[in-house]
Amino acid sequence: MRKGTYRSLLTRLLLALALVGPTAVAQITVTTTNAPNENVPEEVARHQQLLEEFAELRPDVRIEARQTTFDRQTFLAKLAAGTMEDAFLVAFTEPQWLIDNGYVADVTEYLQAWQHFDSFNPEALQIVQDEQGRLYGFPVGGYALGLMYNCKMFEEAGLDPMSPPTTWEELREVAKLLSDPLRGRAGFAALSKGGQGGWHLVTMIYSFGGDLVEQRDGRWVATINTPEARAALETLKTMRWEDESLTQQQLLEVRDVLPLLATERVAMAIMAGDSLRSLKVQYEADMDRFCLGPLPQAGGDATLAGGAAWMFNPRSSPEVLQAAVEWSLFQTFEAYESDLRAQAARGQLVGWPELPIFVGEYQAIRDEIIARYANAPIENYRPFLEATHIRLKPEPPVEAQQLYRILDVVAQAILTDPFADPEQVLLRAEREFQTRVLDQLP
Amino acid sequence: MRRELYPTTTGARPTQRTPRWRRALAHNLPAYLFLLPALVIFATFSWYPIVRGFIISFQRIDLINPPTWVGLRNFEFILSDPLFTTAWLNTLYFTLLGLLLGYMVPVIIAIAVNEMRHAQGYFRLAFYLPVILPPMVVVILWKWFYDPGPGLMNTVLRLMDLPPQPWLQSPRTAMFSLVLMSTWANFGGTMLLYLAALQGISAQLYEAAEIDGANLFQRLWHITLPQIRGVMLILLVLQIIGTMQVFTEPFVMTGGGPVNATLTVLLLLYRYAFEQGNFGAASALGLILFAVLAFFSMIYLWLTRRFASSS
Repeated sequence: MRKGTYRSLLTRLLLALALVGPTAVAQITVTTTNAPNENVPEEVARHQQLLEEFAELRPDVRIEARQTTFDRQTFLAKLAAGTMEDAFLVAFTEPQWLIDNGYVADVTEYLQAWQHFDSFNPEALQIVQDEQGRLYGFPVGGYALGLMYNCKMFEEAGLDPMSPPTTWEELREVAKLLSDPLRGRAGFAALSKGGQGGWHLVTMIYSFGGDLVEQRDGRWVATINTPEARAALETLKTMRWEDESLTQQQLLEVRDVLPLLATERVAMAIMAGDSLRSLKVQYEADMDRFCLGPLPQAGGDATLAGGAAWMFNPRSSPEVLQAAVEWSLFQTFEAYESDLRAQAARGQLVGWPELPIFVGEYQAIRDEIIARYANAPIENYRPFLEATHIRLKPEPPVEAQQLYRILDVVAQAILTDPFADPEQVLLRAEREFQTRVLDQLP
Repeated sequence: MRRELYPTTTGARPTQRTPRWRRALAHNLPAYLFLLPALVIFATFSWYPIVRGFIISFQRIDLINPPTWVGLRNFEFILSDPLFTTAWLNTLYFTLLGLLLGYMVPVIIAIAVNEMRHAQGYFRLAFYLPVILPPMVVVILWKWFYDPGPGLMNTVLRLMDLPPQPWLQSPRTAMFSLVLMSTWANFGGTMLLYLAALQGISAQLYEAAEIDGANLFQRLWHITLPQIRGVMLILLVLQIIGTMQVFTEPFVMTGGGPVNATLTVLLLLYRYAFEQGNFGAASALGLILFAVLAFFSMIYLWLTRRFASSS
């Protein structure tokens, strides 16, 4: 009797497993970086909504977004250990390094199967292509660095908020005017840490008309110590030590400057449009107080344009890769309207300036959608949007992250040592970048 | 001897005896079994990485593609790197400052605490407290101490009508600031060791000295210091070994800046490995550091043996 009961139970269990089994086995799990910030309920709600919409299209796929971002310092170890996410978002400085070393998967077929693939701006796609034109990811958006400033502080100082400084000389004067050391307020904040000091310094050098590397006889040569770079450093040095219009605290990154901007302890800083969104989401700043203007110039008429791209793990299986590409495309582009509608409903900032990455009809549709849900004070960004004479220059074409790290030291020297000689500092950086990085390239 | 145990000649074989190694093994088997988990763990997590590090220092490796042998090229690369000299000079500077600032502090505090008649337990705890704090708490605390604007250090200086200092913000003062923080965070442990040594000194020596009319400094000079000389020497070598491996403080507080003023050897090694993905160069630098530290470790072993035998 007892034996019979066990046998019957076992049969039922096996039957149940047979019924549930196929669905459980067929489930594909895709891991990705850049999960929404758990401390920001709006971001979590947005992600949840996207998951639900995607589940209707691909019920067999489970998305596991992790609270992590791509980090060069852990990437290789994670990839070697098999713990790297299937899809990861990287800055435009990374794709070439990843592609050249075989650290990313070829996803050409999956991307070409997407209905709007032909609408991608071919120039934007070049960033994620190898020499044979194979694709290893896709760009999700672009930015151009500009000048973020507190328009209310401009008004209080008797300045026209719609006429921000357009030259570095003007910026110096405005920064001096807006500085108030007694109230702990600085006119301008410069970055010098985590590679971001170099990133902004390159942008500044572009605006002075300089460049950082060039190719001679098929070989990369560092051209860091130029009159343009020296002039850029002299400007920073004067602002820091003569005008005293910079923050006392140095060794700053974007995440250090945003709270300073939000709490009005800094009046101006070089920033990209997406920082406006962070100001709103992370610091609940009053967005009417913030304006965006073009990057001040000194003969270069250029600013740095960058962006981010989704790339994929070369060790993931083809089914996972396909699902990862589909999810990345869906969450970035397909769910655009419902996503923006929900973002606007939750009071998040919609309509901050972004560079288009599509061309033709599809881009026009997207522009229309964004106009429908925009809640950002777009008027405040007019100076930035109207500065069409400023060229967009891509990030340095070779080992940009290493260059940024080396230039961090240059920015630190100027911002922390009143006796630092710009020429000596640049010369040292040029030698270092040449011998330690460019000469080591295969 | 062995021949006698295993006679090859014909004739009656003596009573078969277990070989000596077998007897030794049987006798020590429980001990070996107890040691086995520790040996496996050491072999996996210590000895294997050390041997692997040695091999990698002669390879070009990115953990993904197959490694290639490059001979001494990794060593050539790091020796030609201008930051190699900077990092060693900074590390030696940190070690020297650590000795100047940090070496005598625990000795003095330990002697002072040992002399106390009341509240000795309270002071012992108070001085040891920073050691208990988690490193990140210490870092956040000292970041605020060193804030050039509203930070504690400059607020105190202003109250005393002294000019504010840039602390971590200047290449001239950054390393000193790190040493100050490191001393504060770590001296408690060393102080306890000195305190234990001090309490081992026979009270009769002090009584005899007092009868002979010795004052406090004479007692200190002629009794206390000679009695704890051994511990002081050993801790000196240990401090050199410890401070030469400084990493956490510059990594978290300054990232090696400003202007590489706090770039230490271990931080440079970290940069090679994890920022540049050059594990070969990182291992080569690790090997050089290993050789230097091995030298100091040998001095340490020699000293401990010498004092162990003399006591």
